[in-house]
Amino acid sequence: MGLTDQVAIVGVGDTDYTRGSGRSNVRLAVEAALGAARDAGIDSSQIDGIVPPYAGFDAADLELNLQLHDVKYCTMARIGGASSVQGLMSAAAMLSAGVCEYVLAIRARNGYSERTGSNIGFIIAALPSPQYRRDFDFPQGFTMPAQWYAMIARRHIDEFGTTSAHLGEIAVAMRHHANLNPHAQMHGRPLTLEDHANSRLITDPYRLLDCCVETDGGAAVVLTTTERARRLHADRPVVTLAGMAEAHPETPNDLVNRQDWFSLGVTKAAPRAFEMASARPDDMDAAMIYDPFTFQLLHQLEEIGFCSRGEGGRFVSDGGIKLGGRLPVNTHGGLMSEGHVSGMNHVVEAVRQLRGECGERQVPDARHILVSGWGDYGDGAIAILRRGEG
Amino acid sequence: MVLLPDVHDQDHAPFWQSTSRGRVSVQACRTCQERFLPPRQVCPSCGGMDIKWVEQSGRGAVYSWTFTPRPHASYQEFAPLTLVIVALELDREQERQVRLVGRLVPDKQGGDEPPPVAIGLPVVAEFRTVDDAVTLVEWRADPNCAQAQST
Repeated sequence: MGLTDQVAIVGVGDTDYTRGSGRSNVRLAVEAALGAARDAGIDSSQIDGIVPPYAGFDAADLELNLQLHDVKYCTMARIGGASSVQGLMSAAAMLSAGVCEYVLAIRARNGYSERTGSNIGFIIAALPSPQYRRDFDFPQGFTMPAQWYAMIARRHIDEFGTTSAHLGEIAVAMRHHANLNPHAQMHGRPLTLEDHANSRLITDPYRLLDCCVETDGGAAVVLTTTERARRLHADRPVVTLAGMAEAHPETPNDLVNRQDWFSLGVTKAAPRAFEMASARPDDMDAAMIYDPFTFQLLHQLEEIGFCSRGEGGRFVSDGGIKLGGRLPVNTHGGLMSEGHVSGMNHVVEAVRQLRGECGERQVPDARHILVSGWGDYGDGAIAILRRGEG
Repeated sequence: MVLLPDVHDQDHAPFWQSTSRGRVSVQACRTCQERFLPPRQVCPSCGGMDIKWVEQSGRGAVYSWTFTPRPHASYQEFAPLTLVIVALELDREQERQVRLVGRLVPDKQGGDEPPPVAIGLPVVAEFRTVDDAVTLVEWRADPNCAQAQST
């Protein structure tokens, strides 16, 4: 197909991931962007396309601070947590159409210190169908992502025998990876299944340690054509976008009335992305799965096709998603334990794995890595990254 | 502060007119009779655009649930909060389920304890008048059904 392997992620950058950066969103964004440009081997002023986030800072902040004198296209992805991965597809389209030469896709947020989740008006404005939220969900106290997704998890538990211990396995695997990653917010803080089982209830079946961390930090990638990437870096593997897809579930503004209860955006996006990459789930050496809560990771493993619906509990057990397991998932620690940078950190980790830069947590000879995004009421995006020779 | 619905919203107003009469209503297509939510302009079954709201029995069964000991800071008055998704009993046989999310409240004797809940629990709507304009729907275990049905 048209975009397969045409575009490469040529630079990645991130800030430290902390609770309390003491720097503004714009500052974090600029640091991440400069890191990505440096890693790409370009001057930041060569960036001529931007995929900014939908909150926190905007393209103009970057144009001003990075002294971008001729940005030719900006496009905002806005499907919640799926936006980081969806933005890669926007960038690929801009580059392959020849509109831009170097596109910056970026996220930065003071998720810990700004506590944007405390402002109901802010939450509603960022969600699909704000009038429906205002009239039907929020007056009932159905306000928190943990509650929305707990509703899905509850039926999975009832139908398939998934247990809180299965979810604990996910939390423990993420923390295990974070402990191999000095950059992770939760590095040096080991976690056991017992810790998970004893953590306080947030919203049944979710306990505190089923939830991701809140993070101050930024992450960015620079994309260009594969041809240009090879010219810039003859000395290292090129990481191409082999397959990409975005999709939305039935009733994308309302999971309550979804008739096929477990279907998600990624249920439709994954087959498209695999077909585009001429690859199958078995070909993936690792996966970076958007993980705001433990069950969302398990759920996507099923819907993407790494196992069948209902088998996720068994799949994640016995170290199945740890390094060395059947499918290493979130080798950086994920949103659960590396940091919540809206999933752009998942993209950064996939690139570093494919280049072989991950040291103690390196997946041997990684050639294909799938990255997923989950937004709002189940919107999904998938990117399959492939290692080519430099 | 708990957010209240805008009962004058053009698309949703008939729902709130129903609740102020003590009834739960859902959207219905005048062409093919399909019942559905969330509210929309076009029937998901036949594509018809002539849509009305039709009152239902106010009975249903719990489709899924979550218990939130400490809800969002603006909703502390709901603590401890039990939320249920209710599959509504409809006035028409159709494959599509129509569901609402809402608070499950304890029966009169229940005091401050969260009510027992399970998938399949039969529930009935209750109507809580907030002010002159707003009446919210809440759910209570159906006293006429001692045993949970399966959904």
